[in-house]
Formats: sequence, structure tokens, C-alpha cells
Amino acid sequence: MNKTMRILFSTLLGIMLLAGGMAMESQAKTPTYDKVLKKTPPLRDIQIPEVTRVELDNGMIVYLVEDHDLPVVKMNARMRFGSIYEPASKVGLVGVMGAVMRTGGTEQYPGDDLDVMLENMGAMVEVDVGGASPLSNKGVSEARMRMRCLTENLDEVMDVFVDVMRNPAFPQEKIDLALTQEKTAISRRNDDADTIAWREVKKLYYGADSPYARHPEYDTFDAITRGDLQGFHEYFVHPNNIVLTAGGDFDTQEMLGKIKDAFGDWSSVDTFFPPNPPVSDTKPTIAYIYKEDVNQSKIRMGHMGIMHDDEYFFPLRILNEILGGGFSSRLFSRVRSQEELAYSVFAWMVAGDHHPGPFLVGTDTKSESTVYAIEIILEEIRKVTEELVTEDELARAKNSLKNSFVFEFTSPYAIAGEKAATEFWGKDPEYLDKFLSNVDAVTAEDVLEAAQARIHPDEIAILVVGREEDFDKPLSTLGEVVEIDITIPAPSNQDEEIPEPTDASLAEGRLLLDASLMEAGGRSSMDKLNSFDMSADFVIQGGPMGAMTFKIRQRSEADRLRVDMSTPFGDMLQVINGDLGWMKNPMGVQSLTPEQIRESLADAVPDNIAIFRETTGNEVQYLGMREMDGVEYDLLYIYGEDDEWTKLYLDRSTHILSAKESREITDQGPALVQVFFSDYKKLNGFMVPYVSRTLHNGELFGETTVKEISANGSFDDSLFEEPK
Amino acid sequence: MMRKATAAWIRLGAVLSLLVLAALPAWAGYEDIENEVQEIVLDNGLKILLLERHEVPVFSFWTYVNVGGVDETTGLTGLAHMFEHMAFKGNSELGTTNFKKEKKILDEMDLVYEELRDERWKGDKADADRLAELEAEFENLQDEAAALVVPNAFGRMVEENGGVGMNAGTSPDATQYFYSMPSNQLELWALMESDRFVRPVLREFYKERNVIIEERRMRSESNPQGRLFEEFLATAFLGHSYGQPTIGHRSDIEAYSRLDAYEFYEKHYGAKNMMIAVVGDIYYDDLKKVAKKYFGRIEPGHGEQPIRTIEPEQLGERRMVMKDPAQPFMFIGYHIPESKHEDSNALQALADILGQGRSSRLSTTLIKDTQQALWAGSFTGFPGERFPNLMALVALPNQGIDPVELEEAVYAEIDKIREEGITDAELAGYKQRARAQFIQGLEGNTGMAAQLCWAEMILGDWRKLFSRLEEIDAITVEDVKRVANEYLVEKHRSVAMIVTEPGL
Repeated sequence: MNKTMRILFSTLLGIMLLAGGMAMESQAKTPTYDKVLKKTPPLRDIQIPEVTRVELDNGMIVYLVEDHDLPVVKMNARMRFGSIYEPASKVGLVGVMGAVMRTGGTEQYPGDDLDVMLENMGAMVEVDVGGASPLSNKGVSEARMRMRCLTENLDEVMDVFVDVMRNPAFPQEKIDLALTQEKTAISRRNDDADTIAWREVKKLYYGADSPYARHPEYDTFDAITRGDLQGFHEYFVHPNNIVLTAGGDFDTQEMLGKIKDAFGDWSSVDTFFPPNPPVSDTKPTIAYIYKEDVNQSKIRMGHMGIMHDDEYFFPLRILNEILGGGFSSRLFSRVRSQEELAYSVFAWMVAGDHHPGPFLVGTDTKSESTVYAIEIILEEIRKVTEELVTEDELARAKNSLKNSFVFEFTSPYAIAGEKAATEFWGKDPEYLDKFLSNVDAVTAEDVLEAAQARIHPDEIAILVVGREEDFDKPLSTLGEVVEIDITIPAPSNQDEEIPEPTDASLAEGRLLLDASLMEAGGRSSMDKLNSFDMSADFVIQGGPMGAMTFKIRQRSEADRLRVDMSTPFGDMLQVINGDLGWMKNPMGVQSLTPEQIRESLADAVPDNIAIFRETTGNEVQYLGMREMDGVEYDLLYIYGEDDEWTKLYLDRSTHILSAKESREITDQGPALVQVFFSDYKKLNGFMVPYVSRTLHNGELFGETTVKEISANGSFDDSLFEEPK
Repeated sequence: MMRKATAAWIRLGAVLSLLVLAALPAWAGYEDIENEVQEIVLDNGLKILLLERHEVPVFSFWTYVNVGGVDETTGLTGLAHMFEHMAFKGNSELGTTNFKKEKKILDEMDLVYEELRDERWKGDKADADRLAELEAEFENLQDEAAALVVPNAFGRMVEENGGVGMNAGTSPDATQYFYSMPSNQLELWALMESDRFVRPVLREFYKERNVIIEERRMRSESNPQGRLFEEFLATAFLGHSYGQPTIGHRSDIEAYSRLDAYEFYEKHYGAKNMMIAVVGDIYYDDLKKVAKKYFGRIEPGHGEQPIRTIEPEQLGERRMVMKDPAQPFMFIGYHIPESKHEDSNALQALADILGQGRSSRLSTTLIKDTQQALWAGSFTGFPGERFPNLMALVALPNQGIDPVELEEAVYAEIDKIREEGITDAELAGYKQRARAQFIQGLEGNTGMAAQLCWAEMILGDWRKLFSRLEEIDAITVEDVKRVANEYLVEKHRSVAMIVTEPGL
């Protein structure tokens, strides 16, 4: 704190402190205490450290404050994004992104190296997103990146901090690790009643599908791809979406130079569309969740609350003290001290920075007093909307707020952070300056008016997690009860357990696959087919513009392939000639990778032929009979490389190959891919399907219908030249 | 609000950070802080430490009473925690409208309650009429007493005069009280804090018992990991009272009386068995003056009370399997000596390198590499530090991983250190980390006050807070290998795990 400006609070605070002892009950005599309180000296001046604010050319806002008490530097970057911006099908994306930014690190600083490097310096770089508490924005609408280190390590650690923020590598292996861990967390989420209560009550006051209340499922994690993480990062993490706070043992100008060097060349982006704030659909629900292994009920109640700029902010701040905050509150006195029903009881009107926080009330009480506890809490809430608070309560609450005000100024870094948050959320910059006079101005009438305007006892949603068979009274005493099922939805793509193969099941599998090939026309007639000329329509479903039709002509022989496609976006052409391959689209010509060439050639034959050819040398296990839509199939399990597998469904009566199933990475993320073959017709003595329908995770993705197909013709060499 | 009674497993982190923080800065430019700590020793034996920091006109304090769950005997578990709750109930002046009248009623209640309890303990042979009579009488007296109480007067006085962060905690080792105040309230604080130990009134005692039972339900009975925690300690300690739950057995909470609590207080509370650290905008002379005037009134007391039972050597691995609807979770514990012991620093280095942080062995292998664990870590000082305790490992398997498979993988990591030791780089990293974390830990008045008390009471001298980094610097890879081989042995191991069984 080398530069300080002085603000005089002493006179004001001194006067207030004299009032302290007066608030005791009139009959209570506390002479020793009165004597001490009467001679309380005025509080010393508060020195407020100078905070520097700078806006970089690219829009990044920077707050800096020096503090040389310890050789430590801290930084915190607030960024406007969080779980509310996730698509509903990919809830959990932001949490995974935040985790992998740090665990994956960057090209220059791979995550595992970072772990060792930072910990060996006792330094910290972390990304905080996802996992929100009802009391804060963190994770929901605000992400943070933090660092802390000794001054001697500042340059190294800051370089990591900046690189992780700007250039995360998102390696697939760390994405997979994060998903494994997140899914395990799902499996554990109903273990503890407290976790359940906090998670589920949000759905009652924000709405179950609200971005402010929903939570990940196995399926939403399964839908997350590396591309999603990269896209999210690119969209949200840019300088004009960041407010940075730096505090500690540095010279402000020097630090500003470092910050400009680190971020100055980063361009701002102008594509940010904040979503709408939540709309309350709180109904006065009484919700019940059964938890078998508890002897205490978790009670959480609430409805939508207020924003930081609410006209009743100060009266409600006082009401918080009186109703449910701290040792002096009505709920603490009634529910805990007098009625001895609970250890923990609280009520709080949360003033949200970004979206309305809840009015949140809760207690944990033994099963046998569940309904009674709710009744008396509701009674206390009603009372503040019906009667004036006492002058004594009002004075106590004011004294408590005013006398503890000095604690707003205990840490320079926290002061700078508060200023940053104020700008970040567009809060009143004079909040602290006016705090004392605003608190002083509140009357008991103001508190009543605020309570009547913002607290609605008949609209409070009530959630109870517990064992109703042990309750004092049925919950229905309070009104109509909705029981909530919190069974964790199984992943829709869960694979069945495959039994260990036996000699018999392997022999049977191979036998059935050979029979299917025989039924189609036999290996020799299949092998006689050496070139194909096919015209087909490919209809893709569910794209952003609805169904779209691609007209395809595919000509292939040995290691040569030409695919002409007419699409709604223009014509496209793919050509492969031996080791070389090209894709031509309206944007130009690109070369294909060897992997793309190999896969395209393998697929350039009718689907069933590709399957028969690819499975020639693999182990095939018979899994028994399966029924789908009234038809019986023999199910074969083909072991591929690594852990890959394919399941084939053979019509039990004809042995015809009817469907194939596998797990693949698609453009929409990992999915269970099923292809159903139908309309078999003979092509030079071998049966091939004319219709193939493809499903991703059970949803129709596309359908290919062959219009015309011929085999063993010859093609002009010019067809396979590099496109121009 | 009197939280943290049981020092439950949630406190693992806190215990750990306290240990890690306690390392010395061998660092030029910061050598002064040790010399800035000032001592006041009152005639009654109370030691008060002061670290002056005048940037902001506030101060924090930490009152450390050297009595915890470990000092309780069978049948009377939970009393240390109960007294902690009572220390928020005021005194003979604060919290009552008429103390004389109140005292008379409370004394009468004591007699009635003792008789009532004796009658209840007769079980089937109890005289039902007499029981009903006593119960009615007790209820009446309780109502009469309640009418004279000014509810939560202590908390109100603190809050109304600007106090923040008021809380207390009872661990197996100690009972600790703390909050922060504007610095012009030094005298009010001295009066209030000393009155807790000079003229406490255990009012609303039997009501508070029910509050504590709710606390017990919340922390232990209705929480699967809380249930396992109690089983784990009971499994690991055969004789020593570290095996008891600090919050108390349910039966004991339901039966202890006000007289039991007074007796406990008389025995353990006293100036010679406690200390205070003050950090903030307070001047030595001012503190000395109010300390003499107010804290000087505390009776010297009996000093530290011996714990007779020494944990006998464990003769073979002990296992506790709890079938529970919750997902798998395991505690593994190995007996280690108290924190004052000369092996303690090496054991702390071992626990850190094995299982603390993203780059630790357990994290690298089990979380990142094999992905068997959702989380795995290790800690010393479990559940306390005053007496021989445990190095505890906590492991949570990932979905689909058999907990026993994960347990084996944890042992493989331990065996690797036992056989091959740790690397020079790992030890150097630990030393550097300890130093940086020490420096960062000096921030904040409350944390600093807590650390001074910890070093004084657990290590025997607050100066060790500062001199410990030298000891840490002297640790060798051989030391770590040696303590791994000496202490992390199967014979001295206890395991408690949740095995999932739905529908129990």
C-alpha cells in the first residue's frame, strides 16, 4: 500500500458504536458491558489503497492494486460465460472445458508438466467454471481464471496463466479423463441428501429445464466433443469479455507493461449474445424426494428473488439480518434456540449480479419434526410480510451492518476485486460510498413494504428430502405433494455386457456369417464384382435446415474412386487415384489424408459387400437370438482392432444381413450408429441392399436410396484426374 | 455458528493445509515476522501472543483450549463439544434478565434431572409414576428458566458491535473459538471472551442437547461418509480415545447432564490449559492492560490432563466393510506418531509426495493414468496430532471400478516408495512448495492467529512455526524411504470402505 488516500469514517462509526449496548432487552441488566461499551473509542481512519483501472485497446479491463506485505502476486480474470450458455443437449460442456483447459494445458505447457511445474513452485493456476452454488454467479454466468505465486516466479507463472487462457490444447485424452470423472460424479450424486436438496430446489424456483437449474446427464456428457470445447472457448474467451484483477507485490506500471505484453496482441471479437435471464415459473409446489438412509429431513424452500439494483435492496438486506441471518435472527432463535428443532436454519434474499437470485430458506430437522418445522418457518416468513419489525430488531440489524463495514476494506486485493465485479456486472459504483447512509435511512415501514413486495409466502416452493414414513404428519397437510423421481437416467447408449467368447459361440458365429454370405450369392459371385457405378439419393435428416437431399453418383474400381455430389450448397467432387485423393467444393480443392483415402475406398462398394469383405479374418461370436419390431434376428458380434466392435443382425429365417451396429465418433459426437438394410436386389448374381437407413443414438440420421447400379463396367481414366 | 464439531472427514483438507503451512521461510527480506510476535504471560499462566498489523483497524483472535474429544471417557463422549456450544450461551451477566432467580431454577433442575436420569436408567424396573412426575417437574423448571433467558445475547453482542466470522470448533485435540472485530472493540472483546471462561452459565443446556443431536444426524447419521468416518476411527483405534466420535455417541449426548458438563469444565478449562493469539491492529500495551484486567480473572486450573490409555501395538490388519446404498468410498489408515515426534516432518513429506496435489503419485497414477480413482489422497494428523495418530488415505473409485482393485493399486504405490524411495526432484519440489505455501499462509489475521496457536500447542513452541522450514530442508530421500518402511506396514493398517448395496 504505497499510495493511499484517506477517508474519514471515524466520526460516523464512533457515533454508531455508542449505540451498541442500548439494544439489549430492557429488563436485562449488563452493567459491566454497558460500562465498556460507553468508553469505546472511535475507530481509526480507514486507509483505502489506490486501485488503478486501465482499459486495453482490445477492450480488456484491468484493475491493479499494489500490496507489498508479502512477496506474493495474485490475478483473477472474470469472463462472462458459464453453464447457462450450454446447449441443452450438451449440459456439462463448460465444466469439462474449464477442467480440460487446466488438465490439458497448452502446446507449450502440457497439463501434466504444468502440474509438476506449478506445484514445485507452490504456485496455482486454476479455471473455475461449472458447479454453481445457489448463492453465487460463479459457474452459471461467470467463469474465472485465477493464479497465485511468489513474486520470484511471477514471469513464469503469468506466462502459463496467459497461455492456458488463450491457447488451451484440449487434448482428447484429457477430455476423456474429464468425462470419466464427470460420469462418476453423476453416479454419486444421489449419495448425500444435502447434495440432492441443493440441486433439486433450484429446479423448483427456476424451472426444471431452465439453464439456471438443469444439470448434466450421462447423455449430455456423451454428446460433448473436442470441437465443442474449442468452439466454446473461441466464442467466449476473448479480451473484451474479460475483466482482470491483479494484486500484490509489484510496481503498477511495470505490471501493466507485462499485462499489455501478454494480452495486447489479442484481438477483440464482437459476437457475444448473452441469453435471456430466467423467467420465474415457480408454482407453490410441495415436492418430496424419498431418501431411505436418513433420519433427518433436508428442507429447502424458495422462490425467485431480486437483482442487485432492486429498489428494495437495502430494506431487504436489513430483513435478511432480522429474519434468517446470523445469531440474532428470528429463525435462529425460534427454530434452533427455542424449539430445538435444528442445528442449521437460514433464510436469505439473494441479490443476483447477473440474474435474480432466489429467496432461499432452509433447515435440517429430524424426520419426526419435518412438517412442524416447515409450518413454523412459514409462520415466521408470513409474519415479516404482515407486521412491522421492532425498533429493537431494526437497530440491531443496522448496527451489525454498519459496525462490520470496516471488514469490506481488509484486503487490497479484495477491494480491487470488488471494483472489478462492480464494473463487470454494471453495479452501482457508489455502492460502498453510500452504504452507511443507505443502511441508516431504512425504516421499519420500508422493511415491511419491501417484504410485501418481494416475499410471497403463498408462492414458496417447498422441497423435502427424507423418509415420509417417519414424519410427524403427512406432507399433504401442507398441500398437494408432488413426488420427484431422482433416479439417474441410464445412458441411452449403454452397451450390453458381452459374454466371454467360447469355442462354440465363435464357431457358431462364423457359421452364421458364412451362411449369410452364401444366401446373398456366395463369396465367388461377390469377388467377381470388381467395379461399380451407382446413382443414389442421400436424404439427411435433422440438419439445421430440415431434411436435405444430396444426389450422388459414385464410380469405383480397385483403388480408384470418383464421387459426384449435388448438394443444396453447390456441387462437390471427391476423386481418389491410388495414393492420391482430392475433395473439391465451392471453396476450392483440398487433398485427402491417407486415412480418408483408405476409408473412402473401403466404403465405395455396396454396404453388405463392405461388411463381408472387412470381416473375413475377424473373430465372430454368436450372441443368440434378438427380436426387433416382431422380427427375429441372429446377433453376431465382430471383434475389431483395439476395443472396436460391430454387431450384425441376420434375419433368422433368411440369414439376410439386416442391420449393423457400432459405436463411432460422428460429426455430432460419439454415437451408437445403426444402419438398417432393405430392398435387396440382385446385381450380377449377388444380392445388394438398395435402401440403407442410418440412425444415430436411435434418431434417424439419413437414408440412402439407390436409383441405379451396375457392376464390372470400365471407366475413362480422365474421370480420376486431379480436379481443377 | 459452532460448526465443525466432529472434525469430520471434511476437515481433512484443513488439517492438511495447517501442516503444510507450518514451514519456515528461509528467505531474506521476510525474517522479521518471527521477531514481531510478542508474548504476554499472565500470573494465572495464560499465554497470549500478539502480532501487530496496523494496516486496517481490525483484529482477529484465536482461543485454543487444550481439551477435545480425546479427553473424554466412555459414557461421557461429546462433552468437549457440548461445552463449546455452551460458550455461546452467555454468562451470569449476559444472557439473562435475572441471574439470581435463574440460578436457583437451574440448580433445582440439576437435582431433578439427575434423579430423572437415574430412574430412566432403571429401564424396565423404573417407577413409571415417579418417572412421569419427574418429567413434568423437569419440563416446568425448564420453561421457568427459559422465561429468564435473553436468547443468543452473546452472539448479538458480537454481531451488533461489528464482529464477523464468529465460530468455534471442537476436534479430538482441542476446542477453538474465534472471530474478528473492529480494533476499537478490544476491551469489549476481552470482557466477552474472558467471561466465557470466568463466569459461564450453562443455560438452555437440555435444549442445546437436541440441537447437537440434529448436528449429529446431519454430519454422521444421515451422511454415508460421516457414518463410515466413525466406523473407520473405531476400527483403527482399539484403546485410545481417538477412536471415539468427537460429537459424541448418540446415547452419551442423550444422557449427559449439566453437572457432567460443569465437572468436565472444572477439570479441563483453566488458564494453564489454554492460550490466545491476537493478530491485527492492536498495540502491545493496550492488550497487556485488558489482558490482565479481564483474562487475569480466569482460574489457573489443573493444566493438561494426562490421557492414560496408550494405543497398543496393532497385531494385524483390520477391515470394516459397510454395505450402504451410497457409492464406494474408502479410508485406509496406518499408525504414525504424534506431530511433535522427530519422524513427523518426513512423514508429512511422504504424505505430500504420495497423495497431495495434482502431481502427487496417487494423482498421477490412479487419477490420470489408470483412471481407477475419481480421487485419491493422503494426510497425516488423522484424526488429531497431539497423540500417535494415523496417516490416512482416502480413495474414491471411478464408476465401474471395484473398490478392492483400487485399494490394491493404492498399496502398489505405497510399495513402490517403500522399495524404491522417492526421487530427489520430488523432495526438492516438496521443499520449495512448503516454503511458498508458508509465505502465502501468512496472509490473513485469523489464519495467522490459528497457526501460532497450532505451533505452540501441538509442536510445543510457537517459534517452530518459523523454524520448521529448516527441519524440512534437512529431510533426505532416505528419511522418507525409512519412514515409509517403518510406518506404512500391513500389520498396522486399518481399512474401512463402503461397498454399494442398494435398497438397504
